[in-house]
Amino acid sequence: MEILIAQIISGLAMGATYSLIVTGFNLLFLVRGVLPFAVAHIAVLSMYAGWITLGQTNNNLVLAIPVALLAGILLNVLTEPTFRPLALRRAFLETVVVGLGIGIIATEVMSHFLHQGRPITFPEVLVGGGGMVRLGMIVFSLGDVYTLLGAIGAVIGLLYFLNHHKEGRAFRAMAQDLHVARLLGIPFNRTGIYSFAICGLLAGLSGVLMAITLGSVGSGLGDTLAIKAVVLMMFAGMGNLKGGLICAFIMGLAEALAMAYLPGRWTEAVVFSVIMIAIIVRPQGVFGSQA
Amino acid sequence: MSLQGIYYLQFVAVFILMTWAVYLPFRAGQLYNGPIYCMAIGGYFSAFVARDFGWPFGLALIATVALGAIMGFIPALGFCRTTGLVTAMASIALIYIIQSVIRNLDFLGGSRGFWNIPKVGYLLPLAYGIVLIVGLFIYRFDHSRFGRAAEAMLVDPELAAAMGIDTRWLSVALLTISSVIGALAGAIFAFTLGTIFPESFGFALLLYVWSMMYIGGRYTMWGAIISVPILWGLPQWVPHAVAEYTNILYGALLIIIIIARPEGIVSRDMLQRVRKMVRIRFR
Repeated sequence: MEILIAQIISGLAMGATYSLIVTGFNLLFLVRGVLPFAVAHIAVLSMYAGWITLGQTNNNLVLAIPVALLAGILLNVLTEPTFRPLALRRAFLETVVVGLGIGIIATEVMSHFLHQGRPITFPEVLVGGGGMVRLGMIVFSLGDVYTLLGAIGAVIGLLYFLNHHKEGRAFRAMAQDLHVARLLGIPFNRTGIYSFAICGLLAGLSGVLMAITLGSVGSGLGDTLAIKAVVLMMFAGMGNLKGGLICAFIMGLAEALAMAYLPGRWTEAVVFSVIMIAIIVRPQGVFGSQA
Repeated sequence: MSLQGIYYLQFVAVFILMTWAVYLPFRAGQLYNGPIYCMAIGGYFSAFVARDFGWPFGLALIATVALGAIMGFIPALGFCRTTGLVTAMASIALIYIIQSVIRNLDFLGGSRGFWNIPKVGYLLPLAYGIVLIVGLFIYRFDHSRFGRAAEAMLVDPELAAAMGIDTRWLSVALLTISSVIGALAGAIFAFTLGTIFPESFGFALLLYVWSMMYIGGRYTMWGAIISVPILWGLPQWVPHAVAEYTNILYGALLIIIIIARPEGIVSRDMLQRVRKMVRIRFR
């Protein structure tokens, strides 16, 4: 029982990092009608940025986390011009391919130039100080708690921004109808840059949280994460922010429990079959698509 | 011909077949990754029967076609219900499933790979024979009643259904045929390499095939013939210092082509103009 609770907490922490990336995907899908495949790669790149800062400044955590967040924002805003003509043309499948192209470049940069392509390991300072929480018999790492709190805070902040801030209302107007929103004078380019910046912030935060929960990272993580996020997004329903959140947490939980209780050899095949069949049976997603 | 040249030509044949296999369902608006899943099945099956049972290559190839058709038909029944991005992403799951299954089957070598696939002397002419046959088939298909029905499905599936096209069975047929082409390409791929791993048929291969189709031009079958030799030859022709960065080059090329030339290098307009020029010359 104690092990089960510890697994649930670590699964929820993993789900929290997925949820941020899925929310970023959904946000850009709603505002711009694009599928920014490379957001996951940018999250991993911002992990590298944080790691380099830690190495250069003798493990200065206060500096490393803002640098990682800033790297996420900057990199994601840099990709915005490539999506702009496609967003105007309403060419959705093409944006997937542009995202894949950016992903190829990012993976190649990671596997050639950063640490000679070897996996990097984060120092103990970032991994929740290596602290463990003991509640009776239940033992779990402090990093998982930080991750969960960080992700929940970010998501609540985002929902508040979307519903109560002027710029957030502009986002929702864009999501409802691009052409009418532009006719009413909502600036297309400015909302685009803001939405990519917010998505980049989510990616950077997710990178920091993944550094805390995983502790190490290799160049292949970007592709795996991107596919997981897209599959989750479709499983929940394209553009459904809340459904995406719920599904991300369920996915994290299922992974943690499968790792603990199922024999490892066939897990991947079974998980992917279940997801594929679910998507085929319900192409609009479990919670319904918003587009 | 040098050994390197033969390898180059064989890989070009494999990737032309793969690009056509992805192009064929795209005619009906489905971006389908089943060919790569069937490529793994075809590659492993043909290598297995040739090495362990001593089947001749021709027999192995025929059996591969049959197996590819069966294994392609089963997921096609599901994917005829979905469209667009859902097909593209859900069929990536097929690739992960087959990789995981191969890793768990010990008689296929698991993740250690499948070694010592026998050499076939006449592989190069055979590969181009297959390319020619598949090319003729796709050309005939494009200019037939079914090709026009697929074209109608690409433009508007609901209108196509209203015009009396059985969209569901057309897409099942297209997905199955593309799986068969994928299985054939897989067999040639396995016998060219001599050693195959589950990772040989992964996400990286998918990226290559997608780039080749999108850069070459995804609305005509001639795009593959232009783009595959260029893209596959690029790492060998550029100077050695640049060759390390070919993947970055591929990614950049993909982004630039999609933004600047949405239909790819060989677009339908270009094909029309070429046809007109040829007609004037030979009148």
